[in-house]
Amino acid sequence: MVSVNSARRRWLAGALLVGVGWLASPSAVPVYDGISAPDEPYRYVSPPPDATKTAPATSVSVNTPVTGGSNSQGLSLQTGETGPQMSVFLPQFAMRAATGPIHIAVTPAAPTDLPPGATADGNVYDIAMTAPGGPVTLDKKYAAIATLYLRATSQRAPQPTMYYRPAAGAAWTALGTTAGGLDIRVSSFPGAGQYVLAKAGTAAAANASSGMPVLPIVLVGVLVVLAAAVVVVRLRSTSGDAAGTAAPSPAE
Amino acid sequence: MTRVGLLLVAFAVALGLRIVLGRPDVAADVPAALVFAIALLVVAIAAGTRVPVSPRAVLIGIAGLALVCAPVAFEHVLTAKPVYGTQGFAGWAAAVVVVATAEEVFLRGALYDATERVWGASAAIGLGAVCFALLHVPLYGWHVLPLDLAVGLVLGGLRQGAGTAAAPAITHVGADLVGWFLR
Repeated sequence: MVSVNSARRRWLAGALLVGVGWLASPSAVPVYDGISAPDEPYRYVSPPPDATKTAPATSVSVNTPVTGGSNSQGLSLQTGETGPQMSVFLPQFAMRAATGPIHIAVTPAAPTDLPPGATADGNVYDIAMTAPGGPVTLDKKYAAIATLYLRATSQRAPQPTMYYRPAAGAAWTALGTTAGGLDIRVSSFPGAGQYVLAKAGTAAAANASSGMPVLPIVLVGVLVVLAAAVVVVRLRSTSGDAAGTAAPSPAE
Repeated sequence: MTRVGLLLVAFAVALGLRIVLGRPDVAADVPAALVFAIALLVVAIAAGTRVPVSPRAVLIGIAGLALVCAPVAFEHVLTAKPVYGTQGFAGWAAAVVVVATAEEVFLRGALYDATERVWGASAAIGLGAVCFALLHVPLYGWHVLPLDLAVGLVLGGLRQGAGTAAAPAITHVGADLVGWFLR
């Protein structure tokens, strides 16, 4: 009975530990360990020659109701890839329109006329916002936390910067871009228009390889030495135990 | 004590190797993870680690799996998150089984045995949990420390209760596999 209670207490303590640990970790872990579940290969509208063959990049659209001249619900919209190549968060009251519903449509396109010296990293995403009663504008106060996420084509450093222009043919503007993950680039959302990730310099420069991997070779060598040392310590310990068993000391 | 020290240094070197090989995305780099797993297994074998499997250990491992997966399952139900499909699962799962098993054979096998012999079971559980938590910081960031420390202590408790690293290995592998669907 005592051992059953003790076992129960141990399991309860374990559950409590995991629960507290879960609550204390501010964002979800892929699991507790292992290898991150991989994203599918990037889906290009206009794939480079060496790209993996994929399904087409996805579009997404949604209607959201208007109450009192603005969107009455916050919304999060994302494309259908694993993980999404575009995701946008538009908070409640961020969009203003005379009448609803507001229609938001996101369409991928091949990158064109980028800033000089910049190389596109993935598709252009065209975000359109329309309403039957006239133009859709952003409310500066509520749209301050509107956020756009674009997935880069790889996790290779340096990661790209997000660029924006309000319409095709207009000049691109670099946006303040932060990391939302190893290959997720995050920026504020200035409004409808076109968005693209781009790197300064050429793709060839980004793919430049480094020299011989000296450090990994050294580390493997150190590991081999350590494993050998562990074997020696174990054998000494075993032979010591055997000697102790075979010939007890006078003190015993 | 010498053996514990050597195992800790070997663990650090194996982790360093994984980081060096896996940059820039260490957590997603499968070859680097497999090299890390092989390094841990080689050192565990060198230490003479044995991992007997018994029906009791399997049952304890499955119960542990239910315990560590409860929060993420609960969160999924509450937030109505989608369950991911199986595309790409098989290859990923094969690698995860190797890596998670190797970590358990080393942490709850070789290191646990060596530490318990010198300082007792509590120290063995604690040291294994600290190593387990620190191992994940370069992969996912500091925010994982509380959760992985807690889970590491639970895995150590399972090892002590079952008398073999087979139980935490079952829990660990199972939790990783469940994580594919509940991410």
